[in-house]
Amino acid sequence: MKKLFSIIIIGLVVIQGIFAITADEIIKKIEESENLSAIAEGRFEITDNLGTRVTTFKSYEAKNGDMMLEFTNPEERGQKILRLKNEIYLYFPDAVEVIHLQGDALKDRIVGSDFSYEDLRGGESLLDKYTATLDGEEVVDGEQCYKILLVEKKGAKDIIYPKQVIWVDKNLFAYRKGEFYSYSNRESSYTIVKNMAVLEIRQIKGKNIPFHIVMKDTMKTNSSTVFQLKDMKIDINIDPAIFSLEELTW
Amino acid sequence: MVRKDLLFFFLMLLLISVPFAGAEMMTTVTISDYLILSRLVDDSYDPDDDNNMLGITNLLKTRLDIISTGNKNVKAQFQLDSIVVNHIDLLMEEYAGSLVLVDNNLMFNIPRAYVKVRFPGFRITLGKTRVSWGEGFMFNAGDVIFEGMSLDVDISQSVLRDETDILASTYIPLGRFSYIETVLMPFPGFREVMPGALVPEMQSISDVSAGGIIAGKVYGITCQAGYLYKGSPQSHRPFLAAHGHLLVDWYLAASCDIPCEDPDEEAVKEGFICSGGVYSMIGLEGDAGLNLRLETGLYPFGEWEEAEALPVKPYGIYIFPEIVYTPESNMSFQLRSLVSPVDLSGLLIAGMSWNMYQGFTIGFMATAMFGDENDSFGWDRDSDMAFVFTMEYIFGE
Repeated sequence: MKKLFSIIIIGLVVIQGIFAITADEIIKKIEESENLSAIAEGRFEITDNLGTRVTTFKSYEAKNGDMMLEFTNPEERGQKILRLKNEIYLYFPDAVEVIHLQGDALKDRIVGSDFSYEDLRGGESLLDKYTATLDGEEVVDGEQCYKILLVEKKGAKDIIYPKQVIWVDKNLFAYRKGEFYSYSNRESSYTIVKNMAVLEIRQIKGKNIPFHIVMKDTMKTNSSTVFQLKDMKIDINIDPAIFSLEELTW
Repeated sequence: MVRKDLLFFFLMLLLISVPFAGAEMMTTVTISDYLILSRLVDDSYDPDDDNNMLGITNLLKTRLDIISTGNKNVKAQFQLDSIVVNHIDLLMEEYAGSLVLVDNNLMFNIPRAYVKVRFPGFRITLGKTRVSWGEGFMFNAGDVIFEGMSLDVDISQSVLRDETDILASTYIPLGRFSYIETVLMPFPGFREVMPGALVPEMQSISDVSAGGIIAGKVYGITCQAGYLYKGSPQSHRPFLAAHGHLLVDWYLAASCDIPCEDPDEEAVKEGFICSGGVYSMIGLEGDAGLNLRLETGLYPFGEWEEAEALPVKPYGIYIFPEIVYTPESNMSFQLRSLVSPVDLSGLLIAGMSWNMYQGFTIGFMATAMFGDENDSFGWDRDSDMAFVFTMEYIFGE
């Protein structure tokens, strides 16, 4: 009897070891579902002490990460962003001018939101820059989530947040929540600067897409950026000519 | 010829038709008000009278912008500016040739009115618009069409060079990042047939400007090579431009203005110009950022020694440094200058702008010139010192 009990215990441990998922695998699963061609319409709502400013856009994204984004609100209407692997082109219609961004310019914020051009830049995995560790499971908004710690790899370049903590829905493999840290006075300790909550995830053609994200700056009161998609079509054929200078300047 | 009653009828027709056509177009209205307190050194002001030394100008500019949206292969834009100002002469030089003066304080301008059509393999643009050749923010020797080296530019604006003209252009994509663009500019200007009424001035075929550009990317560097035959005055204008990144973004351009008649060596030398610049964005703590730009305009065969009187030829070098600090995403402080190192004179602008509410921006700016009477910039010019308060509101559907 004692022997049988030991075998069962050992068996359970082995089975758990076989089926335990790693942090790297979770990140890869999320990024797999993000790898899609899509046409989307949405809005940024930037709120500060004086009120809320809204920026609307239409975007086209190819599977390889290339993206064309056009602003549609009256203030920025006609301005476009063409994002490629390591570069970004901006188009300003009044000056009929194309501006080519590389290097540090990619860290600039998009129309004052909490998202940078670099956040838009595709083709890179979080695992290229961060070491991921599974830190247990927690319930977020009633959903069971994996809690993952991401700490920058030694020598990684162009890192905005040296540490991130993300909560990933265990069933949907989609972000539910995130915390973004910068270094405090000493390089070994961190201070939280931004937190993110995913308020709505929609399933389209079997993929789980965050439709409503709120990003808050913890250093400021009444400051937030809301990213909300109005419509999204995925896994459709997009003409590669969309991601060209000709389309940018059209 | 533009007559006041026709213009009024046209405007009314436009305003009435806009709401009914909303589904096929986007409409934006921008109202900008500039309150300018400036030191005036003008003949009409008595310098001995202290009350007359400071002038207040209020300029109200309303821009109606209509863009078609109904057809993905045809695009059209119509822009109409109305300008109300108490010192009308301030604008006459800037908008010469394109303004319609309605009365002593009201003017209209149509900066853009064009149709673009996309055919398989190429596209055509006809109307009043702009083509952007070369590289550079303040100095662009490659802009052989709109004179991208001119010092006669309002450096307080967010976009320094957005001149337009009546043209016909063809754009032929050769790949994702390479293309050929041709341009034909049939109307070099307008003439006033009666006060407030302008007509395009018809020219002979030799006065028509025409040219082309080929652009592409070589080892990550964006390169352009082009040529313009300038109809008035008649000259050949070849140019080269490049843009790349090495620690910072950099850009270079060079062009030559070669007269068609008797192009002697001296004339060719005088027409040779270069420009270059570097640009860097530095992220600071939080959302703050610092943008640094340094540009130079070079006239290698210009005057390199300070002249007794302002020289006929430009000085050899001009410099444009700019620092923009953005403590918040919707606020910026900027310091810009246009410096002539040869005669040690310049123009300095310090300002801030704050996008307070959706579409609403306020700004404040102080400008000052420094230099002597015979310098490129001097403390004896009209508006050599000015304070400007601006409010702008953009709305539309």
